[in-house]
Amino acid sequence: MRVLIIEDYEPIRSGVAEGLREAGFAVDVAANGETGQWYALNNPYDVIILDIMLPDVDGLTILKRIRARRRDVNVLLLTAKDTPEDRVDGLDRGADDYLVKPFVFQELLARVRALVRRKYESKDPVIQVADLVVDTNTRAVRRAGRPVNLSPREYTLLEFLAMRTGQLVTRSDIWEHVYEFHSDAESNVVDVFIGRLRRKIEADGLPKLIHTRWGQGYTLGAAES
Amino acid sequence: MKTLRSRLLLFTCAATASVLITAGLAIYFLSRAALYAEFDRALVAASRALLAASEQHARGVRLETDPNQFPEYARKNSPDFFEIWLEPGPVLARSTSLTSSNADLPRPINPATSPLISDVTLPDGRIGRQISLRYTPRSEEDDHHGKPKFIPLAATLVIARHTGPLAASLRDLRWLLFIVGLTATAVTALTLHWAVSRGLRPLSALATRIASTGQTNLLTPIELPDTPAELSIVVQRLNELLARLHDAITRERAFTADVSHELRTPLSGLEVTLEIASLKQRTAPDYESRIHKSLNIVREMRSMVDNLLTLARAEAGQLAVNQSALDLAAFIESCWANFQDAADDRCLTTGLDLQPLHVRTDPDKLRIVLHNLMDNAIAYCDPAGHIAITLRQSNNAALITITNPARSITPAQAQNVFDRFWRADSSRTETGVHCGLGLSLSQKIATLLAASLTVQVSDSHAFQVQLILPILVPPQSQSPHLATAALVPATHPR
Repeated sequence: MRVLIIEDYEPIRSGVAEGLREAGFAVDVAANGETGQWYALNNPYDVIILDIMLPDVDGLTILKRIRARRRDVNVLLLTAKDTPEDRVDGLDRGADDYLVKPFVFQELLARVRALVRRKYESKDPVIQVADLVVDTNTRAVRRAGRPVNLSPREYTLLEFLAMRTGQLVTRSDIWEHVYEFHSDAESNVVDVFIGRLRRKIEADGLPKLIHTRWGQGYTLGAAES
Repeated sequence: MKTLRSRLLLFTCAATASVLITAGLAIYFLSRAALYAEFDRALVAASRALLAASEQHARGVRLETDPNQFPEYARKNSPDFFEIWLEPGPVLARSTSLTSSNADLPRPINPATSPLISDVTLPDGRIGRQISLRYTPRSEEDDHHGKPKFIPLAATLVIARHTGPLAASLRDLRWLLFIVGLTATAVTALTLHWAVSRGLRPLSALATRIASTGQTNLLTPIELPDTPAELSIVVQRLNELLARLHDAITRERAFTADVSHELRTPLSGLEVTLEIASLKQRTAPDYESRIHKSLNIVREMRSMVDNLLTLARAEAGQLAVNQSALDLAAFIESCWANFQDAADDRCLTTGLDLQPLHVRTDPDKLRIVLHNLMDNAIAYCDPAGHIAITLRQSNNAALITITNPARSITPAQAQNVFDRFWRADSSRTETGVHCGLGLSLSQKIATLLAASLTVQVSDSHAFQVQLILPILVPPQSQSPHLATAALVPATHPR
């Protein structure tokens, strides 16, 4: 899942980015409003963590422009403005969530996960596809009752596919939602990771769950539709 | 607690009672004097009647006591008495009223020919009043030359009358005056109570209105219908006070919110840095890097708290000023030396044009001001801009100017730069160091140093700060070598 952090205070920006990356998210960061706005309007993020008081362009203006462009992204306002009026104003302007500084990172992480689920209309944090179980809270994956060990990037890829079970997911979708803007990954990295994922979740002759649509992309499901 | 109403009532009732008592006493004693005068006149009239009834003839003095003519003396229990003695002889006549007690009236020892009136205890033991005089009865048998035929005899007449009715009248008068006075005082008190209550009604309304004033309606002016002129001025002053109070509360609330906001941001940075560090086992250099980052954040917060504390102390007048003579040009140079590297890092050019001047001021406080001004100049100077620092003598003051191009600040914003937590771009800087307290603090300290700190922004976005320090060392007392040095300004192009 791809997250954008627009925050001018370096310790918060780098700390949250690092924590989200370690949780398997692809994270882009912007230190001022102008850069953040460009990122937000030109990339398909799942969640944007947005500060309000920013140099150049303030967070609420960015939020207004995101909504005006009808970008399909959930926005979490992360700010020191803590009055009920501030919260109501932020949510009324189109924010999906509001978290006041100082905050506990685990809470921020949980909120980001909830926003991701909301985006893919998946209320249950545990996704089940045939005998494959993906727990998005604990990041644990089980196939036919046995645990499957995945790297953070492999897990992110599987979660992205699981969130869109039965739907066609193109390579560019995967690229845009799983890799960061400044990623130096090669263009065939998606195929490489799909291959690794298959070897782990379809090992020992288990039925295929990841199906290739030649020239289009992939689908996750019990049987190829 | 004594209320205004009770005080007014007490004082007014006391005054009314005093007036009534004085008036009552005056009425009583005047009436008493009039009644006694009337009583005495009656005694004199009675004595004249008896004198007229006394006649001397050949066998002595005869008193024509006609009971029908003097009925008051004829009754045994009459309160009127008289007794006549021949001088120096026996009793000539006495009233029938004296026979019941069979006692004499007190006989004067040396009676005068003019009537003498005095209080007396009557033979029946009651209190009365008597008139006594010595007289010569008239003779009806004078010769035709008008000369008496007999040797004139002298007699003493005493008439006494019981004063009981008079005392009763006076007692009635006393009661009347007492009741009238008491009633008048009570009526006055009631009337005053009503009038004072009515008069103080606007005050009660004002008290109720003030009691209902809270933080939410501080700005709603107090308006009372039918406010008397005396109270209008109080209401007006109260409204002015409320407006000032509202301003102060708004300022303090904004300040608290700003402090809270400004401390939350680095606190969040510290928390997230430490929380991420604790999420999993990391390498020693990684921990070292995070500790270093946390330390920097703590230093930022300490710097902000120190600034806030200094600002609070300056506003509370708790900053002591320790003055000493100072070579201002050298001092400015030494201050700037701390910022040269930072200016170089931003590729800024600088020029110092300092006229040698000596002032008497507090170097520590002045250093805080200059550091803030120089730090701001570097932080807000346009990229590759030029910072000019000058020192000139202007009248009897030292004028320090720091000028730099700053497109981020408009001329209209110049008046806001001294507000606490104000920043040109309405957001904190990435470092978190410039939290918007520097100029506010500098202005407070400048005031302490009897200096003035002003800023102006030209249309070409040249941001200039002027610090005017009083020179307490007269210009002529500047040392000769300094005066010579002044001919060659110390310019340091960088």
